[in-house]
Amino acid sequence: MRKTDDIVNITREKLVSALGNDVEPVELKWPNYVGFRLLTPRRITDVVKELKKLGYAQVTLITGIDKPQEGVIELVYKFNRMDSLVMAWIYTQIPRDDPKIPSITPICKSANPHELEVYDLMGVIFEGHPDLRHVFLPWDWDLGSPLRKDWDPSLAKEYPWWERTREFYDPFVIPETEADDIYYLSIGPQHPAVHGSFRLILKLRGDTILEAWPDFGWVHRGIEKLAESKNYEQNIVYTDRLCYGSAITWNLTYVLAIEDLLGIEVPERAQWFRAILAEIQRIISHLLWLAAFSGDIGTYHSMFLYPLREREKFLDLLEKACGSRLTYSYIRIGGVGIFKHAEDIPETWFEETKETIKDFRKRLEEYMDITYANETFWMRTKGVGILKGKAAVEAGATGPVLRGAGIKYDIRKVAPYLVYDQVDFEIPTGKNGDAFDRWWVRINEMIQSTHIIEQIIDEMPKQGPLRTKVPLPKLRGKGEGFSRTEDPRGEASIYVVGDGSDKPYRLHIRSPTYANLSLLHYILRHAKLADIAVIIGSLDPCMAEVDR
Amino acid sequence: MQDPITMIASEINKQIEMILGYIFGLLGLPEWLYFPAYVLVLIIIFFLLFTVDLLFIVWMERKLIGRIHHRRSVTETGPFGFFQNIADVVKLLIKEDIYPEKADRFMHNLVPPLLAATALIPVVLIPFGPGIWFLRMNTSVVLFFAIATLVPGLVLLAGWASNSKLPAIGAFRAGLQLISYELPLGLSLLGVVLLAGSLDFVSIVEAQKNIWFALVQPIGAFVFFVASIMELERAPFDVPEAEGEIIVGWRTEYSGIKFGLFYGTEYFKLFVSAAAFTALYLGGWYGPFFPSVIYFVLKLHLVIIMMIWVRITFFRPRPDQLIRIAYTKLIPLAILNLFLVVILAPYISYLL
Repeated sequence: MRKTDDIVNITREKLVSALGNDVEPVELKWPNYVGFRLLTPRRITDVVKELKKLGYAQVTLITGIDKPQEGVIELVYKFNRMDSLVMAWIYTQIPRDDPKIPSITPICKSANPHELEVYDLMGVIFEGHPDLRHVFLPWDWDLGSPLRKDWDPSLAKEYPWWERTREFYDPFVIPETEADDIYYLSIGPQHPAVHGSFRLILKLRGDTILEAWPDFGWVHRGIEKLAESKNYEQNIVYTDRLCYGSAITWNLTYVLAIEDLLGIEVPERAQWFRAILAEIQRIISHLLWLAAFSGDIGTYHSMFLYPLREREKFLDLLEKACGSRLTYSYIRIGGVGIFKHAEDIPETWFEETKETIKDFRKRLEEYMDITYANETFWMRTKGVGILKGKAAVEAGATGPVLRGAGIKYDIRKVAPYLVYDQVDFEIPTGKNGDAFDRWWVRINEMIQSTHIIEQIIDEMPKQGPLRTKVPLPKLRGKGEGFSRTEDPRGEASIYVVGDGSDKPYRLHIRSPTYANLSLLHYILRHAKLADIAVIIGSLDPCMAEVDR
Repeated sequence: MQDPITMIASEINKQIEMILGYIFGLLGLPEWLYFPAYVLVLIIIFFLLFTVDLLFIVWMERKLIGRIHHRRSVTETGPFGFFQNIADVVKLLIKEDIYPEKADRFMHNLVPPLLAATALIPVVLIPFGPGIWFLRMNTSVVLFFAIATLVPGLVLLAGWASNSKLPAIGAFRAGLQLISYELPLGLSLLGVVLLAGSLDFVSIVEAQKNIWFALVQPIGAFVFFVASIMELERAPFDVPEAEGEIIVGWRTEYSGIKFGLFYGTEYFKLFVSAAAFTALYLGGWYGPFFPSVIYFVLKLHLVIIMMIWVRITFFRPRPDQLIRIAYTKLIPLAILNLFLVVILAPYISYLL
C-alpha cells in the first residue's frame, strides 16, 4: 500500500495540472483528506473524470449547505477510494436563485442516490441526470426545498396529502405502446418483502423482471432538518432513531463527528468500551438480519426465531450496560454514558459477555446445520442477485454487499477509528457477489466480532474514567466535523458544519442502506420475481435509516 | 381378540337404528325417509368427531411449532390454549367481508365454499376402520384423485376472480404446481395398485394385513409423501402463497369467513392426504393384537406430525426449482419404484 502522503500529493498535483486555474487546493483539517475548491462549477464532470483516473472509485456523499447571506449553495462532493483512507473533497458554490450544476451520474453511477437527495431537499438541479425526480418528497412537490434555511415548515400543510393517496402510479404511467405481454407490478409500500416502507416498481415479462425502480420516502422524518433546531447533546436521541437495528453504531458515528468538530479528547478506556458496544451491536444487527433473511427465503419458522432468541441475550447485555433495549443514547460527547454511572461497569458484566459469546458460537454451528447444510438454501441464494467486483464499487455499494462482491474494504481496517488498529481481526469476503456470499460475509463478520470483543475485554484498561466532562455551554463549535464508521450495513458517515452556536448549522447523514438499496435498479434487472425477497433481504434494508 | 371400538361402534349403530325406528313409528313417517335420515345422523356424528379432531390438529400444530421455536405458543384461551382456534373462527366469522373494486363478485363468493367442499368430499372414500366407511366402490382410488384434480381449477378461479395482480400470479403458480405434482403422485400410486391388485381403498388396506406397503416399496412411499406435501401447498412447497414474495398468493384478496374457508380447506386437505397415505402405505387400521380404528387415527396423526415437522424446518424453493424437482427427481424415482415392484412382485407377494 502506498503511503497516504504520496497519494495526497499526487492527487493535488494531478488535479491542479489538469484543471489549471479552475481549482485551488484547500487545506483541510484532516491531513489525510485532500480538498479542492472548484471555482467554475460547470467543470465538475472534468474533476470527476480526473479523480476516477486517480483511483477515487466512489462518491460517498454530496452535501448541500445553504448560505442565504452569501446567496449561494455550497456543494461538498466527497470521494473515497478502496485501497486507502485518503478522501478527495470538492467544494463548489452555485447561486441560490439559479442552482444548476452538471450531473456526474452518467460518469459515476454511485452519485445517483446522493444527487437525487440534494435535488429533493436542497433544490439543486443536476443537468443531464437520467432520472431526476423527488425521492423523499411527493413526486409532484413544488412547495420549496425543505433543507433551505428560509423554508417555512407550515408550507407542508398546503400539500394535498389526502388527495394524492390514490395516485401512486402517476409518476410511472404505463405507456400505451407497451407490448401486451409486459406488465407493471408495484411491490410495497406495505409488503412483507420490503422490511419497512418502501416501494419497488417492477416491469415484468412473465416471471422475469425487465426493469426495477426503487421508490423511497414513505416515512421520511426530516431528522437532518430537525437536528438544526436542537443542540449537539440533544441530537444524540435522533441518531438512535436512525436505525432500530443498530442504534449504538449511529450514536457512535454522530458523536465521533461532533467530537471532531469540537476537538474533544476522549479517555482511553472509553474508546475501548465503545468498541465493545459497537461490536455487540453489530452482532445484534446481523442476527436481526439473519432472521429476516431466512423469512425471505421462506421459513418463517425455525431460522426465523432462533437468531432472534440469541439476539435477545445480546440485547440483555446492552440493557445491563445502557438501561434500555433498542434506543440507547448511551455513547455521549466525551465518552460513554451519564457522568454518575460512567465508571460503574461491573466486572461481572465482562464475564457475562464472554459467556454469552461462548454460547453464541455453539448456536452459530446450529444455524449452519439448518442453512449451510441444506440444499434448498443453496438453491435459493447461489447465483441470485449478482453484483460483482468492480461493478459493485462503481454502483456505490459498501459494507457486506461490497465485501460479498469480493472487495476487501472495511472502514475498520482502511481508516481505523476507536481501537480497531490495536485488535486483530480479518475481513471476510465473498467471491461471486450473490446473496449467498452476502450471507457468508455477515455470518463470518459475527464470528470476527466475537473475537474482537474477547480481545478488547482482555486488553482494555481495567481502571479509568469513561467520560471527560464537557460542560454544556462549551458545546459550541465552528468549522467542520466528519466521521466515518463501519456500520453493520455499510459505510456510515456524518458531516457536520458548525457556525459557532450550540446547534449544528448543517448535519448530513450518509445512510449506507440508501446507497445499497439504490443498487436494486441494477441488481434486479433480469432477476426472477420469486427472487425479489431474497435479493432485497440480502442487502439488509433498514428503512428508518433511508427515510431519515 | 375383538376390537373394542368396533364393538362400541356397532352398539351405537344398533341404538341409532332403534331410536330412529321408534321416532318413525311415533310420527308415522314414510318408509323411504328412513335411509336418508339414518345417513344424516351418521354424518352429523362423524362431522362432530371430525371437527373436534381438526381443532385438535390445528392446536397440535401450534403447540408443536411453539415447542420447536422455544416458545410457549397458545396458552390463554381454555386449557392449554385449546379453545384459541374456536376464538379464531369466531373472529373470522364476524370480520368484514371486503371485495376488490373490480372483482368478479359472483365467483369471488362462489369459490371459497366450493373449494372447501371439494377438499372435504374425498373423506367419504376413506376407510377408517374395519367396516367404518361411508362409501366403498371398486374404483374409489380413481375417484379420490379425480376429485383432487378439481382443486387446481378452483384455485385458478379464486385468483382470477380477485382481478388483482398478486393473486393472479399466485393462482398461476398454484395451477403449475398442482399439475406437476400429480404425475409423481399417480406414478407412485401404481406400485400400490399393482401389489394390491385392486383400485379399492378397502382392498388395498386389507392387502397390507401382514406387511405395510411403506416397507415393501419405501421409494414409492417417499415420493407419495413429498408429492402430497406439494399438493397441500404447505411449507416448504408453499410457492403459490409465498409470504415474502406475493403476500399470500391467490388468497390475498379474500377476507373474513372466505379466508376462514380457505384456511379450513388447508386442514381438510392435510387430513385427507394424511388419511390417504395411512390407508395406502401404512396399513390402515391394522396393528398389533386386533385391527382397530384406533391404529388408523394414531397413524394419521403421526403422518400429520411428520408434515408439520417438514413444514417448520426447510426453506422454500423457487417455482421453477420446484417444478424441476417434480420432473427430474420425483418422476424418475416413481418410475424406478414401479420397475422394482414389477420385477420383485413374485417375492413381495410372498410377504403379503
